[in-house]
Amino acid sequence: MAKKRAPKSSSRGRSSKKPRSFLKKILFLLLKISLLGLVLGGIGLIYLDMQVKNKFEGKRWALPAKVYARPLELYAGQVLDRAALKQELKGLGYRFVNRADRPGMVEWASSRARVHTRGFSFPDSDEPPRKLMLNFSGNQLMSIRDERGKNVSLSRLEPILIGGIYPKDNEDRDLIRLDQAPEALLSALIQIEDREYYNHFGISLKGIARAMVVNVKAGRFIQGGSTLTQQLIKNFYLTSDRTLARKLMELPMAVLLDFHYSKDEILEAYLNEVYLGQAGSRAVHGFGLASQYYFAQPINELKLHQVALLAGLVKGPSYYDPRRHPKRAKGRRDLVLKVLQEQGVISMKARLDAEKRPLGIVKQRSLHKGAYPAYLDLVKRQLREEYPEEVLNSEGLRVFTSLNPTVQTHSESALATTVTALQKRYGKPVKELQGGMVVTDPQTGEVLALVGGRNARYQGFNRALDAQRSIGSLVKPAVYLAGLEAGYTLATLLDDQPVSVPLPNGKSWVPQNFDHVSHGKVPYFRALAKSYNQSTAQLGMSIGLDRVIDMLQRLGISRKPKPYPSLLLGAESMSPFEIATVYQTIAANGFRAPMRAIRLVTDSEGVELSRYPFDVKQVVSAENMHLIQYALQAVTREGTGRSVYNRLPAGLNVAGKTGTSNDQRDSWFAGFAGDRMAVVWLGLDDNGKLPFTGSGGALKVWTELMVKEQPHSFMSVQPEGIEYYWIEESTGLLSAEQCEGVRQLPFIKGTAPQDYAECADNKQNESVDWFKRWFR
Amino acid sequence: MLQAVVETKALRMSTVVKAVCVGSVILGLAGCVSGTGGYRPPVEDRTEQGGVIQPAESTSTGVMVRPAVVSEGRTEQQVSVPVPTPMTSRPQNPAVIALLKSADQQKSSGSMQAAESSLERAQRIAPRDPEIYYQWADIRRLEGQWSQAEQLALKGTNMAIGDAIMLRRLWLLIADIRSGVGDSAGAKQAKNKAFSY
Repeated sequence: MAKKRAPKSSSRGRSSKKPRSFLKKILFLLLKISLLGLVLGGIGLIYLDMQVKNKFEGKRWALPAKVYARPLELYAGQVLDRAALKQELKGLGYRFVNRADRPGMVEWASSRARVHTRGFSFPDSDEPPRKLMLNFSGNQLMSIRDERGKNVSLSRLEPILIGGIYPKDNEDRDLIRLDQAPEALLSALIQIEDREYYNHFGISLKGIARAMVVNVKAGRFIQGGSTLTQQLIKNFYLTSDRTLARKLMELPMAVLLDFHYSKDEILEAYLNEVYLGQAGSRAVHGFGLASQYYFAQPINELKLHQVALLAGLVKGPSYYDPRRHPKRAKGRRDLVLKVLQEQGVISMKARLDAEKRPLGIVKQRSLHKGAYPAYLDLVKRQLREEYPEEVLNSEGLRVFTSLNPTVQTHSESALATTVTALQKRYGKPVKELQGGMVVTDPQTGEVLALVGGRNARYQGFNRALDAQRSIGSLVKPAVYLAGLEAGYTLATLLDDQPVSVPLPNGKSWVPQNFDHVSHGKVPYFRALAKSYNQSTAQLGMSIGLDRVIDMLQRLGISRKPKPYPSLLLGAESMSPFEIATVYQTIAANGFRAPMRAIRLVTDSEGVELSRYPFDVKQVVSAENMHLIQYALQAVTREGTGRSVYNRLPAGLNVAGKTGTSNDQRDSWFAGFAGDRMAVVWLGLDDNGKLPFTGSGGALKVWTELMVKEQPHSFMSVQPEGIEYYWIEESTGLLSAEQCEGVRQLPFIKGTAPQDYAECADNKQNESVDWFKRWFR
Repeated sequence: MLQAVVETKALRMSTVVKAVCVGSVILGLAGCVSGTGGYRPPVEDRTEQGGVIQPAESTSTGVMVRPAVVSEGRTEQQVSVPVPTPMTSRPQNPAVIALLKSADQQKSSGSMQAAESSLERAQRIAPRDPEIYYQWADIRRLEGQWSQAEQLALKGTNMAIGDAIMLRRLWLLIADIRSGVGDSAGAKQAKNKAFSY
């Protein structure tokens, strides 16, 4: 039809009709385009709408697992170092004030402290916020009273948050609810960022117009006139490129979001989404985390001047970084305060008061989060055996660990100060001296502290877990324990004579003593206390390597060492953590329990997901443990470890073993008091030689730790099957108290020597048991 | 909507704990006097305990500072080891008593996990208190974890050395556990052991 008509019309009035039909065509085209646009736009809108709703209603953020230190228990009668309590409270962000009238505050006096706790929802029970009056006498907590003066038998502080397990983008946040945000923060945000927030419909035309003017003036796109809603859209849904296309997406999405959700819901999401700083590789998102990151306090405890600073940071967390640019930050904060006052939100007096306050930012180093990389490393390794990575870094799990921040601090400083002193003394050869430490509670098997290197904050090679080093004489207790099981007694005389063991390759193994002297006949316990190599080799070869390997495995070594004779003197390489399992079992009287860093894992709601239970297994009889513990105390009282008593009080019983590897490349000490077991390794990462032995290096670190820790005394309990006898050391025969060169030694019933030494006459030859009973 | 935290569920449990504890403060105030002359290293000595009122903690966690003479040139004779005798009563810290009490209540109401948590707390405070291991072993027994139950009870006997009453209870529990798995010979042995105290 068109074809037919066309020639007609063209013949009739070409000049007059042509423009009209052209216009019509254009209009028609435009109509089509706009129809298409409408359809496409509609589809686009529906798509955007879906996006907006899905993300807002789904799981909004990947929440890193939170890892907590052990909560500090408080109870009457407790030995509690006041400095340690203060440190704990500071770590929790408590404010030291004159009147502790709100949670998170403490009044500190010389012999008492009033602590207003915040309370915490523990997996086993809720610890309510309480006002506690703590009364001290010296370093003992004598009583705890609540606000009505009633005695409180037991209370727990909140656990310190020590870290998290972050997703790849390294976003970290602590979610808060709107009602947790201080009123002033909300007002400040609205006054500074988006005054019309509660009136506009997601976008502000006024704002956009203002931004346009700026952009036109500048000749490029620099300002977006964003509402809070738009800012949320920008960060939450879109990439951070400043393109017009993104801007065009942002506008409809902001309107849609505003249409679907209440202003408060959007504001709450904003509070948790906004980027507020950078902690190393970790991006600090949301006001909940920012409050902890800058002030080490929960958001609801912040004061006006702090709140104003956080609100001001939104504009440029890096430009106004209060740690790097305190002046700029203060200027920004004061501007926020000024606006608040001008808008009538706060009084002039409040503004002036707040302006006078310093920024009050905590030192980044004082934050506990990220302060314990070595321990967190251990926690993560244990968690990864059970949970996939995406669960760990997105489900908001809560991980309760055994880390004791006080012990950890003591360990780190014991290592650092000793290493510095050794470097001062020995100079260049130990310039790169390194170390690793593992500290446990012997009875619970909990890992209290872990140090991975001399710079404990450095997240690098974790020597406590990964340094595989020859354990040297640390192996000897296993050898002597195996010997005791094979029928030796503490009084048996060992031959400390040159020994030569032929090896399969035709060579011979000829161990030397450290002092290159053979000591002849030596009582069993003393050969261990003095760490003689030749007598140990003799003993080990006579009982057989299999018994020693079996003993090491029973004590806690999970792999099977190769049966080389050099095993007897500790040629085997182990990490400090691995050898710690052995000493942990010895310290726990022969009851092996897993060394636990994690107590419990719960989901974000506090529902228990996994528990790491105290599972014990008796692997050595109580009697044999009693004997080896006796010998290990001889190490510290009179053997290679006796220098501990240069610094420790004589009444404090400790036991342990020094270790020095071949050619003096490793300096070890493993030992325990009543409630602390610690393994220390010192050495060079390149395996170079050291100018000192186990007692000259690692033992000093260990001693320093115990001086700081003031542990309970170790008390070996005498099992029923043990009897003590006076023994003449030179012959190993029964003797009597009045004789020279004698000592009381424990024996398993029926294994004491039968014969008497010359000195002893019949009357004194009685068993001590009988003797004492008779006189009671 | 937000998973943000900290509910304050209030005082339900802790009031119970408190009530129990206040009562038990008095009970718990028994302690130890330690100290005789001379260096006496390794053996826990319970002969001199009891009688004198002191804050309970000093005993239950085992702090005993003894005067001792140690010098560099010390002779071997100074290392003398006293022979301990059985003790009749064991002072407990009020905190531990409270935790044991809640563990017991949690056990009776079937909340085994909570009971274990209470015992773990008690163990951290007083790791040498055999009562804790007794309760713990009993929970594992009720849960049918026989071998763990027995091991915990054995750990208890290690901590109860010298305490005849406790030892008898523990060995009777071990006998129960062994009967539970059908080890009648082992059960009989444990029973005999129990009655030897």
